[in-house]
Amino acid sequence: MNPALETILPMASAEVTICGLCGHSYSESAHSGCQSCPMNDGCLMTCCPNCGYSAPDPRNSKLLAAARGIGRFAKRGRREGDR
Amino acid sequence: MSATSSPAKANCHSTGDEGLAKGGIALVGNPNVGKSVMFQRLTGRYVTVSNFPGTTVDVSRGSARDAALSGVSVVDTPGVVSIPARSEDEAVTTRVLLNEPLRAILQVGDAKNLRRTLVLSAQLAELGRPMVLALNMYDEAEKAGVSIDKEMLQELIGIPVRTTVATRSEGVAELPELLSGAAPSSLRIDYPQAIEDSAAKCVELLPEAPVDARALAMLWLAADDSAETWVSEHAETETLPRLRELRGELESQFDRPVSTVLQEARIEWSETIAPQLLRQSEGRGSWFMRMLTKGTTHPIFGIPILAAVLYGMYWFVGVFGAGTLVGLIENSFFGETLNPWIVENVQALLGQNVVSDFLVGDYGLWTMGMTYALALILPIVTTFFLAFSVLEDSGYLSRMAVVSNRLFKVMGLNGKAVLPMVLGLGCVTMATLTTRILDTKRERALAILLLALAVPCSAQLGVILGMLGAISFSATLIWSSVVVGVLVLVGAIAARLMPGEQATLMIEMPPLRVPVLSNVLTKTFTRLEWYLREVIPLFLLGTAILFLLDITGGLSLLISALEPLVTGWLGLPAAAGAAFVLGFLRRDFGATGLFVMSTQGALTAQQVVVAMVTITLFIPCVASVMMIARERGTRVAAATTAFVFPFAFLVGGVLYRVLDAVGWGV
Repeated sequence: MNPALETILPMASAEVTICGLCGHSYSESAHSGCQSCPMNDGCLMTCCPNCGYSAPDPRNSKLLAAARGIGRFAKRGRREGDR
Repeated sequence: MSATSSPAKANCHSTGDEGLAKGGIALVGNPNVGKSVMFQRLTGRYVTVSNFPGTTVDVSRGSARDAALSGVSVVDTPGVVSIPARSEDEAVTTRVLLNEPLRAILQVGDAKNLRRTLVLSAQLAELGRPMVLALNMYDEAEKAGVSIDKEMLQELIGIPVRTTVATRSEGVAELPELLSGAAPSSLRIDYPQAIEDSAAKCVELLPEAPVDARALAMLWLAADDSAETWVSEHAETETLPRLRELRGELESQFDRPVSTVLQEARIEWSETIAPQLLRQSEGRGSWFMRMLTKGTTHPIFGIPILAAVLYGMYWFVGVFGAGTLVGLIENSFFGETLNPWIVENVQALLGQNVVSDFLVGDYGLWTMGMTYALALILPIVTTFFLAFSVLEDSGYLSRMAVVSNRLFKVMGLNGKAVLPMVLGLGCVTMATLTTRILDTKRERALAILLLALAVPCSAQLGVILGMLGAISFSATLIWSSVVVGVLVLVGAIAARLMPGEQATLMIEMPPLRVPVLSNVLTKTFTRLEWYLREVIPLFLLGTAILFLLDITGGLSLLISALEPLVTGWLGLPAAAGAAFVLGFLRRDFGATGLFVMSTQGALTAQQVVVAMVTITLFIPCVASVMMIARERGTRVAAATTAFVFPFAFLVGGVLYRVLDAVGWGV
């Protein structure tokens, strides 16, 4: 990062993940050991900063993005059909 | 950090702005408690984000916009789980607290997680810096039916406490005024006498510091890296050997790190006062939900509820997923329609040769690798992930962990060792990392062994359970009993070999609720994608290895070599050796091979259970072995592997003889 970058902090707009184990809601994954994980590059998991439980990160899912895209497309189609 | 010991250089991390020179405000808190939003509320839109000197960690700084703190620098520190720091991010926070001139600390805590917030409060309070506590996300706590007696909390820790909702600016306006007049906390946690004595001796030797001398002594005794650097730079050279000697003497008095002993005292304090401060509303939710909430963790009623949930999963995944859905997709669609068409067309296009065999032969990439993944695994993991997502979204998963923990407790296993196993349900490879929370090398080695031996990740668990479910309920029960029995046995032996103080399993439990369909579908979709992206390449690799072995004659040799073990010891047909070869890569791949054999009538129910138990006790996957090697070294990885495979065959062989003797599933 630029040593003194003037930036605007994002408001809590990032998608929030709710941990499946402890119910903690978080926007950023945190795990002190990730750097040493051999699967770190391209890892699709997110790790709860509260309890350490890991699950695939919905923000990395292309399948989910495609499913949502199809859903939006279908909704738009229905709206246009109604008009 | 400067290498000189002058006080001016000790503050070299300051940004040089006026506000900070007079003493700034540091926002400190656990990760994801809303610090960044709070920071923005206090400072305004424009802030400076830069690497903390000597690190790659971003730290945000800005100027307070409220008149009460006009021009005062505010620094947003990285979230800390505990001090001493366990990561570079956490170390930056300690360095800010130790080095920067601060007029006050604003601790931002998650109101929903009061216990965790208080553990950090205790540590920050002892630093002796003026301090204010903001219990943030209070709206979410209220939604969960929780209210906090903040007046009592103020009295107990002796600092101003406010409840806030930073995202809506609620309660934030009062903070600048409170921060400008903040005073140090009067709270003091009493640690074991040996620590207090050592700390008192250290205080006499330590140089004057921006934090309380006792707190600096505690950080020194806990071997905090930032404190080590600070003291090395500021203390008289001749006092350092004595300080190190005092720390060494103290460490030798405990069977676990001093940092753990200190943290235990803070947790105990937090656990003692939190119940006095928390008010759980009884008015919310239906009577049924309240009863269910109590029942799910009840020492007696929790067990039948757990059994009912597991039976429901067995029916949905095993009977419906692995039975009905696989029957439709694998037998009817792939077996009768798709695969014959593909085989015919590929052979027509390429002719009958080694290339077409590689694609659509007995060990073909499509006919074996992709068919296993799409026709067999996909329906099973889809149903399992749906069921598992329901467990997660309903808040029941943590309750399952609590009920299961009682079993582990009975056999004397440390609660801390149970946590990695619970986390192993998410991903065994990641859970291996969490064994770092264990205090001794032996405990870590044991937890890694148990993880490698008998804790399948959710995906593997789904595949194996689903396939067993398609065979029979009693097969599922026998498999479960043996796997749990192995965990209990190894755990009990280990608990005897390494007795120590019992640690409690600490898991926060979210409220029990009706699962939300969109959440369940999101989790299921995400898991499916993750699983398929991870297993398809491995399935194709495994198939390619088998194909190569087959055409070179190596497979027959291997099957012959494994025959005494597979046929003689486990009582399986020699062809099952191929499935075990696949199981070395990933145990669910091997299990799929065995499942195919059983659907073709090549295995009896007894043989399926023996084979599945054996393969479940294999090492989970290649990634987990790599992780063990990274975390604990190649010797531990080699030793674990060398133990696991023979042990898996040993258990399988014993089970075969027991089932044979009682005449089950012949």
